[in-house]
Amino acid sequence: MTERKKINSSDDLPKESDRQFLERTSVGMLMRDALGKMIANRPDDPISFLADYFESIEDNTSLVQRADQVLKMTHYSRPLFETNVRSAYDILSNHKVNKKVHGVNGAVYSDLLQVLCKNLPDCVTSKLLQKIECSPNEAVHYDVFKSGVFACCVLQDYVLLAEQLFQSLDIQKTGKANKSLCDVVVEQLNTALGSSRTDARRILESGYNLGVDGLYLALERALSRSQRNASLQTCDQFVAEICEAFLCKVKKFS
Amino acid sequence: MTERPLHCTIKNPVTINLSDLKSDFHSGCRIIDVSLSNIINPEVGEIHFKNSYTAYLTVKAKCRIVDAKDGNEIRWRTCVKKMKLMPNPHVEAGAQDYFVITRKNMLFELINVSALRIILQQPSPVWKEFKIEDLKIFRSSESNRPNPLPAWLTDSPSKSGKKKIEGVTNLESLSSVLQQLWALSEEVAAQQTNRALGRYEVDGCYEINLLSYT
Repeated sequence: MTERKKINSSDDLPKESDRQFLERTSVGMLMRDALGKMIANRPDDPISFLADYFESIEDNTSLVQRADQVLKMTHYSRPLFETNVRSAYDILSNHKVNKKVHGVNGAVYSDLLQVLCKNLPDCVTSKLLQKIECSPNEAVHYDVFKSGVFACCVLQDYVLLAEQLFQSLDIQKTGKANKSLCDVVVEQLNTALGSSRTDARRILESGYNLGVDGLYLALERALSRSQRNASLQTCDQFVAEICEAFLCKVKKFS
Repeated sequence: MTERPLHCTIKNPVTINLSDLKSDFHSGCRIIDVSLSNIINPEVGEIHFKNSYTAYLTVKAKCRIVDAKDGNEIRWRTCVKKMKLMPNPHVEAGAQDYFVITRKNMLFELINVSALRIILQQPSPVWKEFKIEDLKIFRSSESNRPNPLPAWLTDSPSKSGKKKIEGVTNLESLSSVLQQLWALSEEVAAQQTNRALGRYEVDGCYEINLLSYT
């Protein structure tokens, strides 16, 4: 009797093929999804992408975390970003407003924005949120959601670039740079941003002013005006000022 | 352009046809008459136009010539003789270019002109239609030059090598980062939605009258 049982069990196991095993455990679908997402997003660091992906599949993550995860899958300059924004919006649509209503409202949208902006300096974040936040009980349309999320994502890169810019102004690596130089740089950027998108002549001129020759002239002029021991500026102040230029371009929702 | 074109009467082009009832012979020649008779002290410095499949252009002028012997004489003189607008009449090149006939192209100075006759020729049968468009006649040839290009556009950026500023190590990277910042800002500006959220509040307060209508 015992011998028969043994034979049976050993007979059962080989009957299940590899394919059947994958189907039973639904690992096949999971891996296929993961690979599909990976190929679509083409991340710079595939291993950590996979790790994050599997982490996000666990059920205990909140909607906001999942949406954040989806948005971070790909860089905003890639076409797929649009799709990801859409799926993030769909994820947030499951948010329960009350017993009967599900959808994206200002509260959950703000939560997502907070998560997206968590690496930014506080003063920049608060100014950005003032512009793109919605009040908690407002319904958030996809358009609004998209432009808000996009602004957040671009601002991340923007702040990184601004810090890089500060590094090149701070040659002694003391953490402080000549304020008059910083001011010129901010001013040049502001003038460039002041020109409208349709005025071709102004755009060309701004392009020149931000070029090597234009910058040289402006910086030289500023240096000749200011004293030798001009005041200094820290990185945070500089980044805040540079971000101010960016925030001017973000429209306040109304 | 500071100077306005002369206010002259430009007649419709006339096609020279040798036709009888039976056959129609297309001569490949058209004439545009320009009357300058209503202009005091007529003088032509420049002729501007856009070509449209004309191969050759001739300008004749009706001039009053002050002669020592018998006073004034009115004569037709050829001012521009068979100027090539299209290098090869059968081929597209030059067919739609803009042309300016200046003093250099003219055989003599156009003063005391009462009328101009512009003769267009197109020997090639390839083109169905030929004409000139936007014909404008200017008095002097100097004043209607376009504004000079700004200095920043014409300066050659060759001397950038020796530019050094105290406190800035790498001007190139500075410039490229700034341009990236500019591009990012513009990108965000372009992506902003115009969708209204439908807020009624003004400065954080509600207008009670507005609410009562909704």
